[in-house]
Amino acid sequence: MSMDKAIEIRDLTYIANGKKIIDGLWLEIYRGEIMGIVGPSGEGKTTLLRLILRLIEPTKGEILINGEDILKMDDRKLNEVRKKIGMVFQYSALFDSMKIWENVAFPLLRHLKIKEDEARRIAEEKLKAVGLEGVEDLYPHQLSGGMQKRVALARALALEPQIVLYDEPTAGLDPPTAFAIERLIVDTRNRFGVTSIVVSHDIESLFAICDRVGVLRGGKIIKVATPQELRESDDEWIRGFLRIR
Amino acid sequence: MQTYTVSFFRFWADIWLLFSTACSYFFKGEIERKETLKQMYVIGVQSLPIALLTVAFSGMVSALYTATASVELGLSYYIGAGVAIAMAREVAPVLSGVVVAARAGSAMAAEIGSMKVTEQIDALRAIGVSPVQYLVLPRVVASALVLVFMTVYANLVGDLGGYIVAINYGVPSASYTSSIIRYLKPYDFFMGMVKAFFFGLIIALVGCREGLRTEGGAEGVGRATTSSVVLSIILIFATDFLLARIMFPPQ
Repeated sequence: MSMDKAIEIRDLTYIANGKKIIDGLWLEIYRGEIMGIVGPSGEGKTTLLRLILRLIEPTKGEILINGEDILKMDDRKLNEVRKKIGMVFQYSALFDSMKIWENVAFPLLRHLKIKEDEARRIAEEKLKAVGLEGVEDLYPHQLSGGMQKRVALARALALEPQIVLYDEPTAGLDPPTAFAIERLIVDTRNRFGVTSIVVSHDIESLFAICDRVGVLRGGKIIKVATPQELRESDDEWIRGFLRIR
Repeated sequence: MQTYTVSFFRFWADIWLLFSTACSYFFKGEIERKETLKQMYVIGVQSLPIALLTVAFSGMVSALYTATASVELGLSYYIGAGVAIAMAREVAPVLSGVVVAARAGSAMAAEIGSMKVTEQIDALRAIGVSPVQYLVLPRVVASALVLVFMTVYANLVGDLGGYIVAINYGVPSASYTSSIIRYLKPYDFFMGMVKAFFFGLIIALVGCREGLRTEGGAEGVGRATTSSVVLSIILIFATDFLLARIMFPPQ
């Protein structure tokens, strides 16, 4: 339970409809690092992120965030931990009944005792930090996919979290937009020192931004290494998987 | 058979869980006032005109049937009371309930269902906000209150519909109203409102439950919407019978 580990996952298993999606997974993530998770589609990458937020209940195992097992917490305590974690969902998951600024201000208004105009001011600041200006009063459906991703990132960062989880942040984006999002992920870490987990099947993108990458296969992390080490790996399956891309 | 049994118990377990969680937020005073008012407005605006129209016509039909016979038998004095008692105890709350289930209950299932399939429910939870507190409780409170108010209006409009038809059949205007005043007990009126309150709870709980368990994209949202209407209407009639048995026991 040393202090430099932001997240520690021990022997995590998740069974859904009789199928083992996550099967005895171990993983440690250090404070301030960008950890990538790669693996074939349908191998439980998104499921792992949902488990870290305890949006779904694992069958067994431990998930330690800042040294505390979130699986032993009651709802109130869990929500306190969730405030320290931001999540960028694959399809952004913006609240479509709210304006852009309201989406970003929502976590602020819910958890901080601040007035609406103060929340709006902070929201505009956060939007500016992800390169968005003048869209505050639009609704999510009026923005492109790439802009929605940025709003989702601004919302995830609104409460200045210690940990940010990214689910396929560059999927479905054109190369320049994907590149801009990658830069934002790195910037966010550099500026705020947040610990990041990036789940993606876009290996090139992950290798460009991650400090370490975990390979998820068969519900287990079969290898954790730096991008460089992975490129030089002599594991046949890993070589095959990387080359297929 | 086994799957039906399982889904039956799962349904009641979900409803109970939603209800008890919503109650715990309610009694802790953690209720979203703004959201509740918005829901009251939405439910009221969506359903009030249709509910009143439906109830007015059934008031007219009740008067129509009773008028023909009563005038012949010299019982026309009782038409007003007949229509008003039927309205207060049964027609106003039940028809309002059915209309709200079809209009507002289905909309709740569709809205929450599409939030579920687009991960917005997960996003709420990830932010540390309980969907029950933020989405379910305001809808439950709004739907129960709106249905009670709506029943009051439905009573007035239904009795008025009956009045128009009765007058056309030669029933004196004064005897229609005075028979209502004489025979309609406040208890009838009040019990109708109690029924409406329960119907409101049922509609919102079922609509939210079906929405929250939606899976499988647009098709799933469609399924949730349909099942919310079917289930609430069945439950409204079943509850109606139970409450009638309790509140108006046969002498």
